[in-house]
Amino acid sequence: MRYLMSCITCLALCVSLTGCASDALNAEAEGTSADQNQTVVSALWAAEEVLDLGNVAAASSDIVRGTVEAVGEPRTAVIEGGAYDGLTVVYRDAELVVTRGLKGHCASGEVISVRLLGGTVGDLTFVYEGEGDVSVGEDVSLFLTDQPDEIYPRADGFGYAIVYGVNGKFHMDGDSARRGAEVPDEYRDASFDELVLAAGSRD
Amino acid sequence: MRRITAILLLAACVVGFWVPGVKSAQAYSLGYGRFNNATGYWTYGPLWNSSWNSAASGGAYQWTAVTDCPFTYSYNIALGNLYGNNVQALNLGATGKVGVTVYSYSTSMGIYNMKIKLNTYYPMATDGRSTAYDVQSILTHEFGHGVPLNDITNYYYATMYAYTQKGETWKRTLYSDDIAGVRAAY
Repeated sequence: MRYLMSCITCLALCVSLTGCASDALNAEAEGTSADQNQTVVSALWAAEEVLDLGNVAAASSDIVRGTVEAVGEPRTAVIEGGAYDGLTVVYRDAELVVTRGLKGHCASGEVISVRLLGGTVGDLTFVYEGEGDVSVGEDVSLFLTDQPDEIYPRADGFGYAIVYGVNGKFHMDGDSARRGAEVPDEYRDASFDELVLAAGSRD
Repeated sequence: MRRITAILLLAACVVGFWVPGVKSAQAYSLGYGRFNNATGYWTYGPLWNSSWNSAASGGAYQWTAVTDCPFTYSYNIALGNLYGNNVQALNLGATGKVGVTVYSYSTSMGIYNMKIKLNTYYPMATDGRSTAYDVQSILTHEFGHGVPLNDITNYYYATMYAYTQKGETWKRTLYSDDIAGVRAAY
């Protein structure tokens, strides 16, 4: 009898906990404030193009390794012209201290600006799925372009954007390079030497 | 002994449901917002290739056809234009993206201004040829973003898998996880 009671208690607790977890997930998905406005941009990647290191390197104007020194406050811009005419986007600029340039003109010690889409300003949240986000202090290798998709605002100090978002950003740990969790497992890991080789390093 | 078994059972359940990183069988990821009245009205935008009409309507229909779920994509020129929801075909350049969906959401309007953009920079076809990306596969995926479901990377055969390749046609129809996703949303 006690055993039966224990099992019933277990099941009741599990059902209750599952319900709580689902509610929390739904609240997160739907946003928590009644007056929030959200714009979401999602896409379908061309696997052959964005997962192959050689192709990502070929699409890059610059490839660098460096340390993220700062990530600026989110700002808004309205895209004028092109496929996203009139769209209000939220972006941040990250400052990266280059420790090694692998392709392009960025030199060691130079500070470059990398524009990232996504963030919240006032009551507008802008979600840009697949962006290669960075954090302050992070050691990264970035495949960059100075001629990005026209959804990136070019004014106010634009320097670079990451080529193919999460597919062009590697978190570095010594000689190990790793793409974000949004990339399929079999394509996430590389060595720094492989990045150098793909870049056809000028150093 | 029985009490220990019961405690272990409880612990296993708690770990399974609560510890971050422990994945359940579910992979779908719900996006932001919902369509009001569980209906997404849509039409063709000014930039569209009418020879792809059946591929577009076929892509939208996959989500409508899910049973035990009230959600519907409804082709309606007037209401599609009113809400700003349309499908476009245009050259977005070498962005690595064969399709893009942009939508807005507010609590009063629900999802609106949903623009599905097929990137014609890349070769497109409707016959499943190995040298081009499949129009209906892309559009079924993009209509899924409007549901709204996010990209996933742990079910290769799911329509909402974040990547596609030339000649791939299985995204034209939904995988069980996609179906579970739209049912969870509505």
